[in-house]
Amino acid sequence: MTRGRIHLLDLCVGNGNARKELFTASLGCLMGSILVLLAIEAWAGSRAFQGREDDGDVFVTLNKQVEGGILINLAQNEKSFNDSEVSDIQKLPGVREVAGFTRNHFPVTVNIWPAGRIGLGSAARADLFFESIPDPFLDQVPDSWKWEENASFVPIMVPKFYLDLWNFGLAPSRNEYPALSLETASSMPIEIYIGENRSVRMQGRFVAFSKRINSVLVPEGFLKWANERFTNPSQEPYFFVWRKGQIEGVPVALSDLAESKISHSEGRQVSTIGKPAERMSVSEALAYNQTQDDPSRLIVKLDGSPSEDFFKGLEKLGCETNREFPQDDLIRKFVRPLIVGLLGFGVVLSLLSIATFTSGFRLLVIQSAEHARNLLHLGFGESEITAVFVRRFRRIFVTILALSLVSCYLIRVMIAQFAEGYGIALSKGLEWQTISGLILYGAGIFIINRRVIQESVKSCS
Amino acid sequence: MRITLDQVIPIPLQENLVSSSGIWGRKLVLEEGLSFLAHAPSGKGKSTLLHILYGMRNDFTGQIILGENKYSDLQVSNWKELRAKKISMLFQDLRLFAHLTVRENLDLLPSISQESPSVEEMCEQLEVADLLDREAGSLSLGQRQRVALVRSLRKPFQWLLLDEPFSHLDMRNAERAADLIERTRRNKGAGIILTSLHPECPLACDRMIRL
Repeated sequence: MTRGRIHLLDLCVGNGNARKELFTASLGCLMGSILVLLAIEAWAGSRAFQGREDDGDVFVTLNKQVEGGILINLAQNEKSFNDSEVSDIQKLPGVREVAGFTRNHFPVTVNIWPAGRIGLGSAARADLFFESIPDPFLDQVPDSWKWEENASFVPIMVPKFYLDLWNFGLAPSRNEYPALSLETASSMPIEIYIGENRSVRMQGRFVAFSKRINSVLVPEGFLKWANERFTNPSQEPYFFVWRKGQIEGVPVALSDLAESKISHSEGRQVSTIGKPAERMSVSEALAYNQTQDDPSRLIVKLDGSPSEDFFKGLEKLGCETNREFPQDDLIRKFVRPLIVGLLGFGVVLSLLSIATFTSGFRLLVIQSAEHARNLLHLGFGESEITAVFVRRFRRIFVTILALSLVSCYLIRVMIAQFAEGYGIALSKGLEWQTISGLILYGAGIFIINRRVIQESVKSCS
Repeated sequence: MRITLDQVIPIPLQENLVSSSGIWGRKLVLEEGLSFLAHAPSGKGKSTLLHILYGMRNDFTGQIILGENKYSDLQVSNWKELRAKKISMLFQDLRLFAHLTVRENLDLLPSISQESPSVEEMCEQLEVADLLDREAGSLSLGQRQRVALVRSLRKPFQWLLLDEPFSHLDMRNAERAADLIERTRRNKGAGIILTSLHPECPLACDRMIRL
C-alpha cells in the first residue's frame, strides 16, 4: 500500500475520534507505567544496594570471640576452629561454602620501597603476617597470582583499605612517603625477610587490592611451602604439668618435654593450657600433633545477605563476623515490604490502566465502526484497517513508554541526590532490569491491545 | 465471472412477494458483460439483491454461484479480493466519507482501474470537477451521488452493482452519468446490475427483470 493511501486511511478512521477518552486512558497508562518501572527500579536497586556479588553471593569472615587474659590466650588452639565446629558452621542457614585461613608459622618482616626501587629513598618497614585462602574465595585472581616452588618472588594481596590508610593516614604524616595510586602501589618492590634472624630474603609485590578479604594474602602454595620450612619453634604449644591433681610450676613448651626436662615418672600428667581438663601422659603429649593447624579464621560464602538465624547460630558457636549488615537490616525491615507494596500497587494500577487504555481503543474502533465498515465494503482488508488503529496506538504508547522512562530516570536521580545527603551513594543510572522490564511490559501491552483492536475491527465487518 | 442465482429467497421477504418476482425463488444466470435492470417499487428487495451479491448479507435460502465459487464457501479474504478487483458497487446511501475531500474520497480505494477514465475526465463529464477539493459532507445529495458514482467507476470490476444510481439526479445529469457508466463498462467488458424504481432508465440495459 502506498504512503498516500496509508495517509488517507489514517485520515479516514484514525483521527478525530474519542480524543478525551483516549487522553484520559493514556494518562492512566502513563501513571501505571511509571509505577511499574519505579517498582522494578526499586527492586533492582535494593539488590544492588545490598552489596551482592554478581552471582548473588555474600562473603563474611568469621573468628571466635577472644576473651580471657594473656596466659589463657597463649593456648592458641583455644580460638581456632576444629573440624566439628567448621561442620556446624557449614550447617548454618544460608551457608554455601566454608574455608579456613591458613596462617604463617614464622616471623615475617617486610621493607616496602615506595620510591619504586630498592635502596632509593626510605623504606617502610613492618613486622607482618601472611595468610592464604583458596582462590575461589578471592574477589580477584590476577594472572600474577602464582607461586612456583622455590621461586624467590612472592605475590601479595592486601585489602584496598590498607592503601587508603597509607594514602590518607601514613603518607600525610610522613614527608618521605608519597601518596600512591593503585598502579604505583602495585609497582613498589617489597623485600620479605623470613625467619627469626631474617635469615631468608625474598622479593614481593602487591599484585591486587582486595575489597573482600581483610588480610595480607599470599598464594596457598607458597604459605604451605614456607610453613614446612620456616616454622618458628616458638609457635609450639605449651602444657601445664600436673602432679597429684595440681598444676606444677609454669607452663612448659613441647620442646622442653621432648628434651626430657620433665620427668616422665612420678605420675605426672600434662594438659594443654586451653583444655586443662583433657590430661594426657608426657609420651602422649610428645606425640601431640604439631601439624594440627586448625584455622583461627574462616571465610564463609553465603547465598545472600545473612539471616537472623545465621547470626543466632554464630552466637551459639561463640563466633563473630568481620562485617555488620545494618543496611541490609534496614532493607529487610522497611524497604523490602515497601518495594513489595509498591510493586503490587503498580501491578494493580497498571492492570487497570491497561484495561482502560484497551477500552479506550475499543471505543475508538467502535466510534469509527461505520467508516471501518465502509472501507471493508470498498475492498480494504481487515488487516489494513487494523493497522490504522495499531499505528495510532503505537504512536501514543511509545510516547507513554518514553515519558515513563524519562520520569523514572528523573525520580531515580532525585532519590540518588536525596540519598547522597544521608551519605548513601546510589548510582543515578537506571538498572538493566528496569529497561528489560520496560521492554517486556511494552511488548505485553502491545500484543494485548493489538489483539483487542483486531477483534474490534473484525466485529465491524 | 458468471453469476447464478438458484431459488434464492431473502429470509425477511414476505412469501407473497416471491411468486410474482422474476428473480426470487427462480433460477437466473447473469452472464458477464451484459447489463441487467432490476426494477420494482420500494420494499421488493432491490437493495437486498445487490447487498447479497456484494457479500454484505447472507440471510437467504437457495444457492448463489459466483464464477466457479459457491457463495457459501466464500471467506472474508475472498470477499476482500472480490470487492477490490471484481465487483464494484454504488450504494443507495452513497457511503462517502463526509470529513474527507472529494479527491480524497476518490483516491481512497484499495486498487484503481487503469481502464477507467481519469478522475478529472469523469468529474468533468459529471460536472463535479470544481468540487474536488471540497469536503464531501458539504455537497448536495445530487453532487454526492455523482462523486460516489465516479468512485465506483474508478475501481477495477467485472460486475458493477448500481443501487438506484440516478435517484437524486436531474435528467441531464442522469444522461451524462449513464453515458459515463456505459463507456466505462464497455472498456472493461464488464456486466452491470442496476436497480431502479421504474422500468424507464437513462441507461439502456440488455435485460430487464421485474423483482
